Amino acid sequence: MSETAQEARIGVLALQGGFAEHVAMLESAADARKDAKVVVEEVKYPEQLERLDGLVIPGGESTTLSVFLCQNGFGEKLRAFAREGERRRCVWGTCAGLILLSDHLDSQKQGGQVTLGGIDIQVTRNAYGKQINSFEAPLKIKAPALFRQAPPPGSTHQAHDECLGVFIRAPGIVRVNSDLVQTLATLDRGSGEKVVGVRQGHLMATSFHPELTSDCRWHSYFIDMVVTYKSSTSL
Amino acid sequence: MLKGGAVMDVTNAEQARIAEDAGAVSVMALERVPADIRRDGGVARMSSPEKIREIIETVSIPVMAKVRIGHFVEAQMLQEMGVDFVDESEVLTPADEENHIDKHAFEVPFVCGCRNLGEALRRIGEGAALIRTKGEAGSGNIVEAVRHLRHIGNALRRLTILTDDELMSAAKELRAPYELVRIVAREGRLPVPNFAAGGVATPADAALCMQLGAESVFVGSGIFKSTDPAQRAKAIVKAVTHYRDPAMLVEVSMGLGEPMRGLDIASIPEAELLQTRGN
Repeated sequence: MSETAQEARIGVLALQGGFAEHVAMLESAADARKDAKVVVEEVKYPEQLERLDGLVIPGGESTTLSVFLCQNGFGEKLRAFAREGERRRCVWGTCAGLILLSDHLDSQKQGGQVTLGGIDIQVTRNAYGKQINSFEAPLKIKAPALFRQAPPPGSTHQAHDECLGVFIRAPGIVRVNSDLVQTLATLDRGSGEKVVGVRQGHLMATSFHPELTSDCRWHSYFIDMVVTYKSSTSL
Repeated sequence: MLKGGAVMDVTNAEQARIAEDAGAVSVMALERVPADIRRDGGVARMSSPEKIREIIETVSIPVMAKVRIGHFVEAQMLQEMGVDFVDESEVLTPADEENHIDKHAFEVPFVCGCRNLGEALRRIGEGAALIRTKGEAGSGNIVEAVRHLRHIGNALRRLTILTDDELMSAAKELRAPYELVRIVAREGRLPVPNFAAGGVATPADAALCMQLGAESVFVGSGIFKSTDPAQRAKAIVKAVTHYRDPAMLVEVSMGLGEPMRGLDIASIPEAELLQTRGN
C-alpha cells in the first residue's frame, strides 16, 4: 500500500441543509481511527471535487440543491465524480442525497429536478408525509460490517444489529430494482420491513439521518468504504 | 433540514413558484407582506384557508404560515391544513398579550421570534422547535436583526463562563427556565436552530446575518417589494450558501435592480414597533 493511500479526503456538500452535523460526525469518527488519516472539508464549489476521495450529500431541500447543481456545470461534475472514471470515489447520500443518487424518482415537482442516479432503486419524496410526520424509530442493520462495531455508550438499543433512525420529511425506497443493490438497514413500523439504507458498490444512500444521533457507526462505515476503494485503486 | 437556506414570504401561487425556482428552502404563506401590513394598519390575522391551500398545492417545498401570538385555534387550523411549520408571529396583531401558545400541545412544529436570549428560552420552554430573530419586520432595515443576533450570541458566550452555582441567578436575570439555562450554559448554543429575520433586503444583509451566527435567513418584504423579485430571490439564496465569499457576494449583487426602500427605525413611532409584541 502506498503512502498516499493512508490519507483520505472526504467532502460534505455544503450548499444547503444539514452539512455541519455530517462534518462534525466524520471528524469524530476519523479521530477514532489509527489506520487512516482522514481530512474532512465543506464543499461549495465544483472545483473542490477533484481532490476528494469521498463525498457526503446531506439532507436538505432537494429542489434547492437542484438549483445549485444546475449552475456552473456542478451537476455534470458531480455525476462524473460519482459515476465515471477509473478512480472510484465513494458517495453517501442521506435523505435528499438518497433522492439524488436514485435511478428512478416518483412525484417530481413541476419542471423536474436534477438527479445523479447510480443506485438502481425507485424512490418517492416525502414518503411519510410532511414535517408533522417526522419521527424516530429503531432500525435493523443488515450489513455485518456495520454491526460488528459497538453501539454508542448509553444507547437505548442494546442489540448490535440495531440503530436509531431519525426521519425528517423522509423519502421512501419504493422498490429495489437490482441484485447489485445491497440492503443495509430496514424499518418496520408494523406494516412489514421497509428498506431504508442501501449500497451499490461505491455508492451508499440512507433515508434517515445518522448525523443527528450520537452513533458514529455509519460514518465510520463510510470512511471504511472510502479508504478501501482508495487503496484498491492506487495499487 | 431548513438550515443554510432562505425562507421567503409569498402571497400567491405565482410568487410561491418564483421562490421555489430561485432555490428557497421554504415559503411563508401570507395575505400581505409585513411592509404592507405595517402600511395598512388595522388588525392583521392568520391568512385565509384558500390562500394557504393554494400555496401548499403549488410547491413541493415546506410551507409555513403565521398565527397571532397566543391564538391557539388559528394554530389548530393550520395544523389541520397540513402546513409544515407554524410561525407564532409578532407581525400579526397579538391575540393574547399575556401568554404565548402552549406549543407542546401540538404535533406541528412552531417557529417563534425573539430579541434576546431570555425571550428565546421562554419560547423554547413553551415548545418552539425553531427560533428566529424578530428584527423589525417590514422595515427593510437590518439594524434590528443585527441587534438581536448580537444580543443572543453575546449572552450565550457569557453564560458559558459562569460556574454551576451561578446559573440560578442567571436564569432569574434572563427570566428563562432554569433547566434550559443549564443546558445552554453547557453547550454554548441554543437547543434548536436560530434563523435571522426582520429587515433582510439584500444579499449582503443575508450574508451578514449568517456571519453573525444565524443558520438560515427569512426574507419577507425584501423580495417581492424589490423591483426584480426573481433575480433578488436567486441572489439571496446564493448569498446564504456563499456567505463567507466576498467575490461571490459581489457577483450575485450585480444587476439586481432596486431593493425595497425601507424605513429608518427612528422614524417608526414606538407604538408601531412590531418587535415589542410578545415578550
